[in-house]
Amino acid sequence: MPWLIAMAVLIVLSGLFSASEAAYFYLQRQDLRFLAAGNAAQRTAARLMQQPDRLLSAVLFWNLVINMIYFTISARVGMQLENHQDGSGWGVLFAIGSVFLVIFCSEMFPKSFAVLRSRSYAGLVAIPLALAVRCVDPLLPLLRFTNLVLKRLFFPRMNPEPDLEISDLERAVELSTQDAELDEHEYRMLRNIVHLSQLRADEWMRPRRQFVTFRAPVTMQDLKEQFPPSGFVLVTKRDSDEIQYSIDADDLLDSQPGQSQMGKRLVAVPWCSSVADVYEKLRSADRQVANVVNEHGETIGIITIDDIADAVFVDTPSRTRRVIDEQPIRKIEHNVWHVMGLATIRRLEKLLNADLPETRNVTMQGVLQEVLQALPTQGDQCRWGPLHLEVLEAAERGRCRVEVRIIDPRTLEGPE
Amino acid sequence: MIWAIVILLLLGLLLSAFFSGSETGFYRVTRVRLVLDGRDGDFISRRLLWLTNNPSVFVATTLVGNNLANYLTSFAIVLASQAIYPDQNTELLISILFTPFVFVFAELLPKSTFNDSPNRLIRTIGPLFLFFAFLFAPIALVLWCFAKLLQLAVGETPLRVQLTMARQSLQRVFQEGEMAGLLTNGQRDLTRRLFACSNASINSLMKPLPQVSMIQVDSSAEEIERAVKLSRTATLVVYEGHRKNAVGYISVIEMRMREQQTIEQYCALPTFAAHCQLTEALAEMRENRIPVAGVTNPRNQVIGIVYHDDLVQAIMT
Repeated sequence: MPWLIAMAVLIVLSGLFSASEAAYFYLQRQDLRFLAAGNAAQRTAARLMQQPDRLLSAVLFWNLVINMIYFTISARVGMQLENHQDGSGWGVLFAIGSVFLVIFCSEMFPKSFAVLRSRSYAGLVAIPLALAVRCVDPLLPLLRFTNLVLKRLFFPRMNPEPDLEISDLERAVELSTQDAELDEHEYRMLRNIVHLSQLRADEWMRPRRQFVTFRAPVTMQDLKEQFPPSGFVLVTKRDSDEIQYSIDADDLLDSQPGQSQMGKRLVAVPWCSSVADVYEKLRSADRQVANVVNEHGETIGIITIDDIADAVFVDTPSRTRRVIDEQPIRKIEHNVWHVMGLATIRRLEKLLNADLPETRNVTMQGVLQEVLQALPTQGDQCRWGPLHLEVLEAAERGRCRVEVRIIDPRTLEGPE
Repeated sequence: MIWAIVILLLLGLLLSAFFSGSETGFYRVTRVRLVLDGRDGDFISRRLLWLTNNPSVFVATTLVGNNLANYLTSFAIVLASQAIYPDQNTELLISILFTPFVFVFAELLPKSTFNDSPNRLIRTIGPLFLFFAFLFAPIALVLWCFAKLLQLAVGETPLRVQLTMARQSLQRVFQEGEMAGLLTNGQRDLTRRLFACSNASINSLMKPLPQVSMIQVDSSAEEIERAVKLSRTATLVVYEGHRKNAVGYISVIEMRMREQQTIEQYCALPTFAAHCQLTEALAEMRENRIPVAGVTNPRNQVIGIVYHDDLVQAIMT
């Protein structure tokens, strides 16, 4: 009888810890936000989940200690019954019964309930659970250290995996066309919106040499020569070449002949930020132009809100097309392409379906400079990975057009 | 005898590790990934998604498996202690001393590993787990009934994820993307607005002709100035003869830069049918750099004007 009472108490305790594990690790992000803003117990629950490893370790440890004691008692009583003179078969029955009892009463029922009411249960048991966690705190560092050593020993290359990746979002958009009844344009726009996260500012900016700037103060007379194709008049200070302000074309309508304008200050973004981040910055600052700066703080290009609109709404967005109004990559014949210097390597790689050599350069022009170790001039030829490059046209420090020939088609799965 | 005990102990530990890890894996798995893999035709992912949608079944499988495994371990410990220290009743003490070892190898290590990499590991152990789910199905059925009763009692059902990617599901994916830091708030807003405009035609953003500030082909400089002040846009619609006959548009800025006082040349007015989807018109106008277009009725008469900037603003601001 004392064994049975001990087993009953152990079942109740085991149930409490099992339910806690299920409830806490079933909580979603929104549940945690709700708990963090709740009463004292709910806040404790949210705090416990701030160190999920610590919580998991403590709950599992307590549950295992209780279950191991329970099963040891069960095995011992079962063996005693089995060894009893008239007890043939009772011991096995007792063992099976005790296993199912623990499954139902301290695992199934509490866990099922906890999963359904994870948020309420987490708040309810938060304080006693926090105490239980504290009790085993002194022992757990040693166990966790052992766990860490074993993990590195058994799974040296395993890194924590992100919940979600951009590729998952892209797949979701891809798969949703039928289910969500997206039309062709909607699908492309959604795909472009997701792609903003991967598009780097220096890949999408209008390079510094591709736009004109005006020294302050700017009048309509100054624009007579050429109105900037970006739709914005970019203004530098008198004593500097750094762009300080932008004036929207519509704002020029109000200006009188001879009257000067200063415009709005630009937002500075680093070259490596994503276009999505640039959009976020422009939105929050209520600006329309961002200047892209390099590691030395110099402006290397600009991105306007209109350029971002292009990245979202145009079916196949291309910077080269936007900036110099030419197709960035044109197929000439089988395995031969004409590529503009501003065309991005990422686009070329995608189009050729090729593995091109690793490079820190973003554009074809950059690759040429790196391979040739000089500014490209007409007639220059070189090999880059599986490609043969020949410079067809080159302007001074400016545009160039390159013939790209696949010289080793076996390395590519390239399209016909 | 001692080898049988060791094998029993190792089997218990291995099974316990498998079920402990897979339980954590099921709680942490990214359902969207299972949906996507399932939609790609992956049989295992479809079954695993079914299991995550029916937590009572995977809970039952892991619990039955884990407890049987722990019983095996405890039984092996009792046998070992009776073999090593007969008649000394040391089972409980040895069991408690052995617990940290079981804890690390059969609980902590597999659970933290699955917690780190739930998607990859769940997909790897999927076939074996499905085998055990089938094996323990009778017990799972009891639990499933149990869970149904519970749902009736508490009036709540667990979150279910469909094997479809309808608009709502897609929005949920974007929301998760934002929470995971993959999308910015601006991108989420763009998707929301795009969905809000999904069924809209350009009719909804069209300005009827009487409300549009237009100029006649032979307007004087003063008339053009007046129209600019009224409309406050850099592009003006040009008509010939009657206002209903909109024929083109001009850029006021270009006129000023060229110091033109009157209209010497205008761009022909492109048109869209009134039922044309907003997204389609926007893509077309953007692609071809069209700032303004006419909206026509079924008789091909221009009944209104749609501005590119208005279409962009419907989604971007």
